[in-house]
Amino acid sequence: MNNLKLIAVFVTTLFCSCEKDSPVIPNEEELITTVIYKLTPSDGSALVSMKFSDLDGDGGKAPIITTGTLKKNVTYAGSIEVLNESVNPVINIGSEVLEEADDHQFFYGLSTKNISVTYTDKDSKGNPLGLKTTLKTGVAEIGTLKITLKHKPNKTATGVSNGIIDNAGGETDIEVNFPVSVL
Amino acid sequence: MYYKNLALISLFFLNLNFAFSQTCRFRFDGTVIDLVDKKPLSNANILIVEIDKNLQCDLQGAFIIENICPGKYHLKISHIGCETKTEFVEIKKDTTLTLYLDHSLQTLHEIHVQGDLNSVNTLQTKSINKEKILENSQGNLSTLLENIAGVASIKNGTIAKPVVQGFSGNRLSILNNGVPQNGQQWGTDHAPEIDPLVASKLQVIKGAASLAYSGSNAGNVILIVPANIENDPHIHGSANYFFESNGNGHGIRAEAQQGSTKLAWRVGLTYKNFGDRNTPSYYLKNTGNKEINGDMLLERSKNNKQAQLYFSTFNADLGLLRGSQIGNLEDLNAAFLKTEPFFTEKKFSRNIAAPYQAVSHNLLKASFKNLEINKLHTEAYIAIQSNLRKEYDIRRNLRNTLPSLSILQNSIHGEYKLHLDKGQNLHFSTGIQAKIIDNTNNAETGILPLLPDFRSLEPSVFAVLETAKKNIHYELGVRYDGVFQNIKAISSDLPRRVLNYSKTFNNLSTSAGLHAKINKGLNLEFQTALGNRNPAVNELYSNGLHQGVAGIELGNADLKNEQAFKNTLSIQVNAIKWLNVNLSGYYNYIRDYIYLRPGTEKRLTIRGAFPVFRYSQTNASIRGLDADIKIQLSKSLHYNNQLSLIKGTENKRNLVYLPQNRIKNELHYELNSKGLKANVSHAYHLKYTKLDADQDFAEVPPSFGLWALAVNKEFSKKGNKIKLSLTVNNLLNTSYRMYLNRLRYYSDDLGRSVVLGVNVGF
Repeated sequence: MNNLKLIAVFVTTLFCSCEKDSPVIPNEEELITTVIYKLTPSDGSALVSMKFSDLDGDGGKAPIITTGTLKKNVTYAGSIEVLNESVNPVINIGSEVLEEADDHQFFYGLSTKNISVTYTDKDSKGNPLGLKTTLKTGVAEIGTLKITLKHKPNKTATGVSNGIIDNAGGETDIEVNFPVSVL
Repeated sequence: MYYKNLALISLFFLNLNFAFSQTCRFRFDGTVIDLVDKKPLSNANILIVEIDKNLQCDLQGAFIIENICPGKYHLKISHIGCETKTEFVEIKKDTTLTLYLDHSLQTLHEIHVQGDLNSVNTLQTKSINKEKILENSQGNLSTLLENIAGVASIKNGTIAKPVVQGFSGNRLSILNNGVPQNGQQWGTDHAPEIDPLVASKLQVIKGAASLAYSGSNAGNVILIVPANIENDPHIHGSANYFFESNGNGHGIRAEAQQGSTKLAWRVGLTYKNFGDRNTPSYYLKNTGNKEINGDMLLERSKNNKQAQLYFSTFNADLGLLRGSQIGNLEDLNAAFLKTEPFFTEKKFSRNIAAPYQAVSHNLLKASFKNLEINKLHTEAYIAIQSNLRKEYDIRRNLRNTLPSLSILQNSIHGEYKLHLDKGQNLHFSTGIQAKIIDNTNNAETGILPLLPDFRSLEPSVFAVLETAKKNIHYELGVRYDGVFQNIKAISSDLPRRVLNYSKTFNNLSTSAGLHAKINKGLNLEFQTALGNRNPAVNELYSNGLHQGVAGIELGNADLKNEQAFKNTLSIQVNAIKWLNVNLSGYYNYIRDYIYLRPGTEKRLTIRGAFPVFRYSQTNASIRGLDADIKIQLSKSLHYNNQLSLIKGTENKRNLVYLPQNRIKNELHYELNSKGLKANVSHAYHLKYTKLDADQDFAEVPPSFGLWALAVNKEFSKKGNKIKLSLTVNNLLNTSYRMYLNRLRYYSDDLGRSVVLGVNVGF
């Protein structure tokens, strides 16, 4: 009985092992865990730093957000750091963004009325990138700053080069909100 | 019984004497008999291909032709409700032949599934035959099945998976050549990796299917049934080519076969190549697809024993709309506001880039049958499947060439079945089945996998008893499936480490059915079943962002078995000659129905806040009505109406992801003498039921109606059968969005498409 032989082989295979091998843990080099917006004031007052960090990625522990207080009527030089701190050594994702500047753009959305953020850097085609910015404060107010990093935005769409995100398209790699207070 | 047939013909060859004359004076006669009930089939038609002569059988199934020349002839035997069968005969003297036709639901390759008892139990089984498959050769498995009332597709553009009476994915079993298709059944954007052009017919068993099917759990079943190798010593085959205007698609299907009792064979090859599809007003960037599939069957038969070796390979690259790749909820909201999706271009392109899926599926099956007449029938098979799925997204730093999801799923299935017939009125079948599934994520992605690695061992045993008394046929079935899962997940917190889980489930399913032939024009069928389904690995252990749907999906390791109480009542009325009515109503109550529950919970990530969907359980009900009404208006004209209504609720809320209610009207013209068929249809899809704001990201799209037109012409030239077909889908170029197509968030659905097809059989 050929059939029986086959079944015997099959059943033996069945009970060989039901235990799954351990998976290889992927090297998450692309993961973005940390965004820091560093603001250096032109008047020599204290440096302000806003930081969003979620070291274990989307799941696990909740992210930690820290922020600082801005001064009235001050111009700050802004710079963004993007890091992957889940690995050792830490990966600087910001430099990857810079390498692919043509395919990336940061957007700064403000709920306040008197703060302005302008781009001070450009990609190879002369369009803004947004790793470097100038932030100017006005009167005392509070609100939120939303920093967005778009991958493959349409930089030539209406308003995009002025930092208006609406027509940008592309995929959002980063979207973090910081409470902002100007005193 | 196939063998009986074979035996008869070989016997006939042995008894041949040398022809003593070349004059055309022989008589060829015989009878066509129903393979199942052994009764003569009245009004069968026999085409003698070489002389293009049609013979009509009388009421006793007898046919005769006088004055036939000696020679070798191919016969095509057809009958309403049967699969057309080819036989080969050599005439050297007066010849009498008994021909068998399979007039029941099953073919010999799927023998006994529904019993041998006067082809009952068929009201809930609907088929798509080879003709229809070839007329729609540009389509995929799921879109082909949509021709059946009660079947729809969940789509992501060209990626489509079937939904039968509201059940899909883990709740729907698809058997490819008798083997449960094993791939990534979860998720709305994983289509079954099956080439429908291999099939001689596609069958959908609605309601409570036979518990003899592996993985059925008394659920709905789709069967992909490959053709038998025709009993013909010559090499025969067919070539099929199609062109589709939408997507500028081309496709070829070629197959060849040769019958023999020593070693019969068939090989087939399919190639498809589509570029960007278009809506009525713009191209859908990156929506092309390419497919290369092959299949091979070897068969050896001797004394009612048969051994088969089957291999099939399916390889597809499937483009996803470029504008549908989003990073977060804001991107999705921005996409809703666009009339044209982001990245839309004016130019057509064949290029497939990220986001896309590359899928390959291989199946190797060895099967054995022993069908000695009046003895215990036995069947066994062992099958190995390998399913590799890679999904590519837009990524930074040239990582586009790395998949974001890469899963290899290997599986082994085995089955041993026994069939016992006690006279005409008692049939018993039983069997054991077992499978091992091994699912491995490839770490090349550099991303934590959504679905963990696992191995699952699943032994099963079933028994089905069928009996008939007078005009009533009864069926009882019982099935047990054991599931032993070992899961190896990766922790979502740091440091990353491997988590080990083991789960055991016991699923017991039972079913009972009765089929009553009230009178010649009225058939009733009732089936009730209690099916148990254990939670699948994705439902238990999914963990992470499902980017395509902008949601975080969380599995729930505490899920219990889901119990479906299914009831189906079918009525067939054909009391009047010109009217045929098929109604099938169903009510399914599902205790502990497993679903992704939307909630108010949001999770903050570096890409913004995402809604959290947790796998949860509730009591749900899905009920509906499928109707198929045919009215013969004249000898060559008939009207067909198909209605598919469905409603699902849980705790007074409507269920998501069920098909839109649909009504399809069709006028069908057929001029057999000229081989001409024409068909005009209108399908109206009603707006999906009202959903609460937290159940979907966007509003449900409005109702729409689509016109379609098809013309087919068939003729013979030098013994070759040639078939030309012209189909126009979405004839009026209507702009619409379909609820079950995820692309509705981003773009309109497909615009008008003209399909030209040519099929040559030799």
